[in-house]
Amino acid sequence: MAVIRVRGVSVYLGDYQALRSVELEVERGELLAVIGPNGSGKTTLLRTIAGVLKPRVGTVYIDGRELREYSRRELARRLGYVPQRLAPQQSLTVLEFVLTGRRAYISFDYTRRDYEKALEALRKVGAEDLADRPLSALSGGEFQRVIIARALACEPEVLILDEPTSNLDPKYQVEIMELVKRLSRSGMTVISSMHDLTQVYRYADKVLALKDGRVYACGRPEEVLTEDNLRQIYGVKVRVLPEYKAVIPDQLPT
Amino acid sequence: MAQRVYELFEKRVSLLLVLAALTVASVPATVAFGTVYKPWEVVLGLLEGSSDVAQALVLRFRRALVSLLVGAFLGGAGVLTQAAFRNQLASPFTLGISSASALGVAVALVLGVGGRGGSWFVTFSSPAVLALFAFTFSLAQTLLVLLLAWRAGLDPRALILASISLNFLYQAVLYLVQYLVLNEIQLATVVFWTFGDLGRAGWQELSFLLAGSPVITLAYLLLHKDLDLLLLGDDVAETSGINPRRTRLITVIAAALGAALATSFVGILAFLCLLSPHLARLLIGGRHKYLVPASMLIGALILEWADAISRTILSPVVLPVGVTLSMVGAPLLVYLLLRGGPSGGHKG
Repeated sequence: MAVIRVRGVSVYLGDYQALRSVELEVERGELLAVIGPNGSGKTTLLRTIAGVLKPRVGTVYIDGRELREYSRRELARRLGYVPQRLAPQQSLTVLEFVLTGRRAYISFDYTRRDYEKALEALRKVGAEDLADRPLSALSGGEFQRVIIARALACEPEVLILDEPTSNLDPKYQVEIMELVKRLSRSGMTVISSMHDLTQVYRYADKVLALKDGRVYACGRPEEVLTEDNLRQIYGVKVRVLPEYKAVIPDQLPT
Repeated sequence: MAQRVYELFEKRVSLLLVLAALTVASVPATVAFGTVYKPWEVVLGLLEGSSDVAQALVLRFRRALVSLLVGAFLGGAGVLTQAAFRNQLASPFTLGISSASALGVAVALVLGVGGRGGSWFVTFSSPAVLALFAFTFSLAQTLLVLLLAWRAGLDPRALILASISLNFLYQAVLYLVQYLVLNEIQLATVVFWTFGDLGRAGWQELSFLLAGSPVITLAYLLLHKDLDLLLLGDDVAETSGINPRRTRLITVIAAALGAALATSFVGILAFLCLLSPHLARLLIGGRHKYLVPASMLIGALILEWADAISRTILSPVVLPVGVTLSMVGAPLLVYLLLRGGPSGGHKG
């Protein structure tokens, strides 16, 4: 059964209709990439599934139950959310930051068990030895791993990532995507918006392409990532190289 | 590895204990300072007798207790508002509490319930009424700000806009009342009232502060885990299991209560709300579990000694403590901000 089902969802940001009748199903352990040009509704869709935005029309189901029936706490324990931009405004150590991901499990204060879970989450992303470092001293790639660890600390079934590799150098990009793939192999459902189509091709199990708030295409990477589709979606000519599982711009610099 | 973090946490707890010990020890220590210096032997020796000097010392003791409580309220309220506004330059007075409370005093005087006119001192014959008016107006202002911000979605930007615009409105009304209605003595009373001064809190005021302190302290300390989340942004707070808008509402109300209570008895000491959170952050880091109590203790400590300085530096003249606080604190804060670099001391 699908972990996430999105049925006819339309979302408005003020008067602006950001999503139009979106349909989507994500199976357990699947890695879904959400693609589309800037402003096509990727982040809106992720925030809607995360329960931050309420659809005006349609319903989101998680484990067969309507999203709005969950309390914030219940939802926070099921979904781990990694926003596109996160700049903590206070000085925290890495462990303290990851610990805040355990909020849905506590009422008065974090316990020893929460500290252990936070460390376990750091271990999962291979950042255990950063635990006592101040957040401000981390590199971009380290910070991204730590943010993912924070989302994992709530022991979610579903991980929602908003462009997790967009500010990273190539080495870290691959590192983060390998990490995400590993998590998904271990049974975690992952929904991630992405811009790098080569990475989408290589790592995603399923691709959802959005255009102007509508689902343009949805399916396996090799079905969705065709030169025709991508020209329609992005309005730019690209080359798809299936033997390299790569997508490159068609135009050489003039 | 984990061990090192736990050691860090233990270090912070010991730091808090040291601060607490200093804060408590400063109460008797500052009693020795005043227009007439009383060395320790005299202070101790006089506790048995009941001369005029002993009476003066009892009053100094009361002042020290008032400064402890007021300092703690303001230090804590500062941290809370900064998290709610997501801005390290915000304070409960950003909400407009200072103008509102001053207006409350002015209104009390206009209505003639704040004390009979005619003599400078007479207005102080009913300080409780002035305090009540100041408190009521501060809370009314806070609720008005929250109501406006509520309609705009209760995000930090809405809070700041609502606060600042209403603050100007209150100031305008206050100036209007001062310009058109108040006589010289009432005018002087309002102006004098806005100088933060610990001397005007009597036993009754102290008992109010004491009665409020357990509730306010508990509220401040319990909010710590949600304050951490507020600073990570509303989306993150929401997906971590709390309602950011409701949390911000509760935080602002708690901060306003503490600040309004302190302000109505001793006047405006806005600067403390900026200084002590900043010092606390440098000392103990940004996690509110430690930051809130640290800022409360540092606020208390600063105010105790600022008052001791106010009583001695121009002796026999006793300066309003608000003046001392800003004169010493402002350069210190600027120095710390510049030293901290563009990040403003965001370091661990």
